[in-house]
Order: sequence, then structure tokens, then C-alpha cells
Amino acid sequence: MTTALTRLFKTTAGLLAIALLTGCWSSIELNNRAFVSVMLIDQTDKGVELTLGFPLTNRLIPGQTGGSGVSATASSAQPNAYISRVGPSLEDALQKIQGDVPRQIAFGQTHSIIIGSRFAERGVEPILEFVLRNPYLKMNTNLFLVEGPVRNKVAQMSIPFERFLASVLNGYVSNRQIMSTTVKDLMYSKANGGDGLLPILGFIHNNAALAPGSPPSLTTAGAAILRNGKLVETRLKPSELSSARAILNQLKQYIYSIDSPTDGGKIGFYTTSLDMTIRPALTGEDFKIVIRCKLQAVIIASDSEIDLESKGEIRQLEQAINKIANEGFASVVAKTRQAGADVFGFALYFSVRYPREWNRIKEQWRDYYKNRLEVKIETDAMLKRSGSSVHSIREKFLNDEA
Amino acid sequence: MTAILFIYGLIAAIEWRYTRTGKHNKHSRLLIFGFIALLLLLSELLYLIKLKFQLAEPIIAIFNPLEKLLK
Amino acid sequence: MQTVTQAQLFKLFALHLFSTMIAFMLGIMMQQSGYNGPLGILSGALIGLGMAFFAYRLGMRRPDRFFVEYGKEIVGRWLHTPLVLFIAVANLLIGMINFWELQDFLIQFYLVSTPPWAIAGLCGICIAYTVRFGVNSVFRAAEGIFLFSLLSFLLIPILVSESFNWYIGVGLATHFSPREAWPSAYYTSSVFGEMSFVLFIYPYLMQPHRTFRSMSGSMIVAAALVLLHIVPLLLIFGPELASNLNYPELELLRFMRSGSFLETLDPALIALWLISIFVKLGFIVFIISLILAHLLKLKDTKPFVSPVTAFIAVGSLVIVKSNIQFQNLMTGGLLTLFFASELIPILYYVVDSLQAAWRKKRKGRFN
Repeated sequence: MTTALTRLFKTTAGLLAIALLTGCWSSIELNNRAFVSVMLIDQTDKGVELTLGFPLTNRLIPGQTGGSGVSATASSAQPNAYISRVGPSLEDALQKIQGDVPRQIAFGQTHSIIIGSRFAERGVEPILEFVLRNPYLKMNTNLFLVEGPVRNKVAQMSIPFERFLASVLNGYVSNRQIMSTTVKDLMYSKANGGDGLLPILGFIHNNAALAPGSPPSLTTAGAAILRNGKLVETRLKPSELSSARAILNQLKQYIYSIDSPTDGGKIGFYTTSLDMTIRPALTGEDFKIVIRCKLQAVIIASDSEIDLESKGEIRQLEQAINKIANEGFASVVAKTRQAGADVFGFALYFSVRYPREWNRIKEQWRDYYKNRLEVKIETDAMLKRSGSSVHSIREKFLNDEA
Repeated sequence: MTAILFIYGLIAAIEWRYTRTGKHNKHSRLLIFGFIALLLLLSELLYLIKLKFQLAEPIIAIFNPLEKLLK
Repeated sequence: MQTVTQAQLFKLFALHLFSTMIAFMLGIMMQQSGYNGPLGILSGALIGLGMAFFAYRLGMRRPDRFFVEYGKEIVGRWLHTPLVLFIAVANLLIGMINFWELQDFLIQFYLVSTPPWAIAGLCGICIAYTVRFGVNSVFRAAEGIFLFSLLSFLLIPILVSESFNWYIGVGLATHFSPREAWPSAYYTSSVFGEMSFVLFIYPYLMQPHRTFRSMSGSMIVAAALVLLHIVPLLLIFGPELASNLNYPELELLRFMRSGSFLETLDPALIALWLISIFVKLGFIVFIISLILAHLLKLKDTKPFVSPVTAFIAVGSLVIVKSNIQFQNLMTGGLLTLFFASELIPILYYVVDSLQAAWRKKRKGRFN
């Protein structure tokens, strides 16, 4: 064979090999995919109701506001579709939805799953199983709870800041405004598997720019406790939720006010850093968990005559903060203990540090957590700055008029 | 099955061209092509009975006791 | 003949050792040993290096002759041929199993409706093409891809480091149990012991006396890299969850939350892994064709490369019928087979030493 022929042979063989690229068997056109941005799962009388939220790329117009009820956009111009079907199980409902959608459903962009309270009461294992086995859903998918029937509330709410609900939820999570519970957090160990806190999404009318009668918008509204994968009665209020998030090291910036120890006026603080360390301890036969919180705060407002230049007064303030923080942590831990759910993952700390003793009690861990665990909470607050001014305005500039 | 035949045929053709260059004597070429034929037969055999007999079976049967011992 | 530098050998062996261990075997390590996985891997690496040491010493006695040729002088032709064939068969199985793992992994996550023969075929073509050009091309490929591969494997633990729960690291100390670490050590040593196949390529090596230094370097780099992957697994997932995952390394990759760009970076990293695995398989195919050529007393190894690769590709399709059987195979005998094949050079070393001592005694007696 001449070299020219050889070269021809080699190039054709090479091109043939490239043409047989293995990706081409399972390639799906981008236009032929429907990306699920949020999954809503609820339980109805007829079975499991699965709703998949799809952003509709064919309706996306630059500059459009998105959501519904915000402006006079007709519902047919909305850039979202929430396709909903009911089936005896999650997978059956999914198959039905695929039958409704003219594109291939793709889960690769799903970051949030919203669960209805009625479904959660029966147990969230089907969802965990689905996420774990699906090769496209990741384990750091966030879970949220909505009280009551999910579908209409979520699909029809108004979203002022973003185009899609998923962006709102992702924004909440990345800005750490909401408790972040992922699928992985519910699966650390068998002793407390399925115990966790689910952030509750609430709906309120807080946008004065909307006409009355418009659908509500989203808000963060406390948390629900999951025990062994099932929802329990207890709910955490938003203030308790902040303490819970602090224990889980998810709370970084927080604004709150306390009564001044000197004269009861309100002093406002802004926490700039908050570090929690949780350590297990064993005294004899009894387990103890030690929760230590180190926080640094800045004063943002003061309505009291407290002298912020005196060390002693500052110390008093810090101790007041410590007291309130300890009470907050203790009450939230007590609430979870009453529900018998180890939502903070203390089981992991004990199993890591004291394996032999842990093996003895791990079968009855929830019971132990509820009744016998000793919890010690310490807070160490440090006030770094008093803001831009030293004394309160009232004290320095306003006159007390009799 | 025919795909395997085709691939081995392609390989045989490539080796035919390669060994034609006079560096190999008749005996070597015979050995090479004999070997290719042997592998072809083995491949076809394994492929045709793949549902009834897997290579994994005898390996597990022979080495499992040894492994249990060592673990 | 001496065309392979020690640096190339170091890089090839490093890639050979860490590529499939990280990609495919971390799940088994977690299942068998939990918190003692890192300990097991470390000990297994040392044991493997120890086994390879004997191959090194044996090769050093005759650094310019091929083992397949002089082996029969040590143990006799009737024992040498079956033993060397056994090593060839073991290498064939390594190849088939790695091919199978590759297809299973790719098909399950990325190329969902691709038939397995397409993957086996294309990978086979790549490997056959590389190896057919001779021993140099395999080593040069290793040298070329080594840095990129190393960097990509190092990148992963760094990118997921924000999700670490450092306290779980305490468990490494509190759960210390050599008994629990032994299965991992055993499996790891059968992987790291593959370095003893350097015995077959001694005539190609430059400066053969420095071989052991290269092998130790490879062991250190590979062991460090594997540890850098298994410890993050523990710190993020904890032992109970990690042992339940089929491909924990992949889940680790997907856990990156550092912005939307890097979250979907996993296919790019997978591509780099694939190349490292190809380098490993290239070396294995080369060893097999070397053994077969020398057994048939032929000087040229090239004609054997393509049929062997084709056989491995076909074999990978039929070796196991399901994932379950594969798990049975991996934890129920296959690694013992590899271990046995790596012990064979030690047998030769022992016999050779005894023979040399005996010969010296005889010489002494005649004087």
C-alpha cells in the first residue's frame, strides 16, 4: 500500500471512531429536556401527589418579572409550569407526569424538595430512597415543609424578587436565612436516622405593592421535627429555630435585642460570628453532651442609660446575653427531647468518641436522649464594638421633659 | 457474535500486513495466527454461553475458601 | 533496549496504583473496615511494596534478561510455564474486571442507554493503539498525564473541604482495630503488589538499580492520594452512610457546593480518571503480550497486543452477569487470585536464593 493510501485508511478509521462516540447513544437534545427545578410531594386521599416545577424556557422573556399575580401578566405567559399527578407511589406518579410532558424529565438541576405535612406524617423514607437511588439527584438536595396541602399554595404564590421559586429557595439557603436540611443529614446513622428539623415555608401577605386579594409570598416560618422519618406534633417557632440553627452551626449573622440589666431599656445586637462546639463526655456510665457557644456581637441600638465605656457594664451586658442564649438553647433542646428526636446528631458524636459504650445503648438511643442524657450549655459572648456612637441618643441629645 | 468475528478478522488482517514485512519467519507467523484463532474461539465460546456460564463462577468456587481463610 | 527512565516508571506505577483504587475500590474498603479503612490502606500499601521488593531483588540478579526466558532455569520448564501462564491469566482478569467496572460506572451515571460493548470496544481500541507502539508509548503516556491526573485527584478533597465534619476524625483513633483493618489491608496489598510485575520489564529499564526507589516513591504518592480521598469520605458521610453507597467517590464529587459552575464539574474529572485507568490497562496488556510472546519464543510482542485487548474487551462483557455477582466476586476470591499471582515472583526469589547458596556450597566443596 502506498503511503497516501495508508494515510487515507488511517484518517477514515480515525473519523469513524470519532463518529461512533459513545455519548451519542444516550444524548438527549437540550431542547428535549424538561429540567425539574423543584419537587413538591404531598399525600392526598387518592394517593401520593407529586408535583414537578419546571421553568418554561419557551416563555422566558428578558425583563419579565415572573411569578404569578405580580403584574397583569396572563397566566399563560407565566414562565413556570407545575405539573401534578396522583399515584399509589412516588414512582407511579412520576411515570404519569412523564406521560403528560412532551420532553424527557431531567432531575439534574433539582436542588429543593418541598414536602407536605400530611405526607411527612406518614414518613419521608420514600423520598430519601428516591433521592439516594436516582443517579441524577444529589444528596445535598434541600428539604422543606409546608403545612397542609402543598400544590396550590406553592404553585400560585407571588415571587417578587426572582423569576423562579427555586431561585428564592436557593437564595434562602445560600444566604443562610433558613435552616438547611439536606437528604444526607437525615442519614448519618441508624440510631438517629430520619431525625431532623425541616424548615417550614410559610405564606404571608407582606408585600404592600400587591393589590389586595393577590396570592401571598414566601416566608420562613419555624421548623418541624422529624422523628424516625415521620413528622411529630411539635413545631419550633422562628425564635426557637434560630437557636436550633445556632446549635447546628448554621447561624452566622443574627439581629436581636435584650433588656438592659441596668434599667431595662432595649439594646439591639448584631452577632458577627457564632461558633458552636459540641463535645460528648462520659462520666462513669452516663453520657453528657457539652454545647459551647462563642459569639461576638456588635451593638446596633441602645435605648438604655448603660455606660458602654465601662468594662463592668459591658461585662454585665455580656452575661445577660449569655443567659438569654443559654435559655434559648436549653429550651429548644428540651423541646426536641420531649419529642424524642435527636435532631442535632448527638448520636454521631458519641459513636465517634466512645464506641464501646455507644454500642451498648445505641439500640435505645432515642429513649436515652429523651430521658437520661445530660445536657450542659455554655455561652461566652464578647461585645466587640458599640457601633458608631458611644452613648444612646436619648441620653446624650434628648432632654427629659417632665 | 458476528461483531466479534468481524473484529478478530480486522485484527488478523492488520497483523497479516504487519508480519508480511519479512521480519518474521513462517513459523512465527503460524504461531501468531494460531494464537489469534485460539482467542477468537475462546471469545466466541464465552460470548455464546454467557447466560449459562460466567467466568466469575469457577473463580469464586476455587478462591473463596482461600479468601475466607485469609480474612 | 533500555529506553524507560526511572521517572517514567515512577509515574506509571503511581497512576497504576491510585487510579482504580480511588475510582472503584473505596466502597469496598468502607464496607469492610469502616473507620479503619485508612489504617488498612496504609498497611496494605506497605505489604504490597514488600512483595514487590522480592521481585526487585530477583530482577536485579539478571537485569538484562527477560524473566520469562530465564525463569525455567530456576524452577524447571514444567513448573515455569504454568506459573507464568497463571500470571498472564491473572492480568487478563485484572483487565476484564477493570473494563467491567468502567462500563458499569459510566453507564449507570453518565451514558445511560449506551450498550456496554460500545464502551468496551472504544476503550479497547484506545488501549490497543497505545500499547501497539511498544513499551515506550505506554510509559510516555503515563509521564504525560501524570501531573494533570495528580492535580485533578488532589483538587477533589480541597473542593469539598467545607462540608467536613472534623469531629468524625476522632473516630479514626477511638475505633482503632487492626482486626477490622485487615480485610482492607489485604485487598490493598493485592493492588499495590501489582508493582511486582516490574520483574518482566527489567531489560527495558535504565538504571535498574534505582527501581526500588521509584517503586517506593509510587507507593508513597499513591497511598497518600488514596488516603486523601477516603478520609474526606469518612468526614463527610460517616462510616454508616459511606458503606451504603455504590460509588462513594462519585457522591463525594457531587457534594461540591462551591457555586453552580463547579457543581457539575464531575464529568470533566471523570474524563481525567479514565485516562489514568487507560494507562494502567495499557501496562497490563503490555505485560500479557510480553509473557505470551516470550512463551512462544517470539521476539516481537506487537502482534499479540490487539487480540489480547479484544479478548479482554469481550471477556469484560461476559465475566459477570450482574452487579451482585460482581460484588460476590470482588469480596469472595478474585483479589486472592491476584495476591497469589503476585506471590509467584517471591517463590522464584526464594528458590533462586536457595540454588545460589547450594551452588556456592558445591563450589566450596570442590575447592
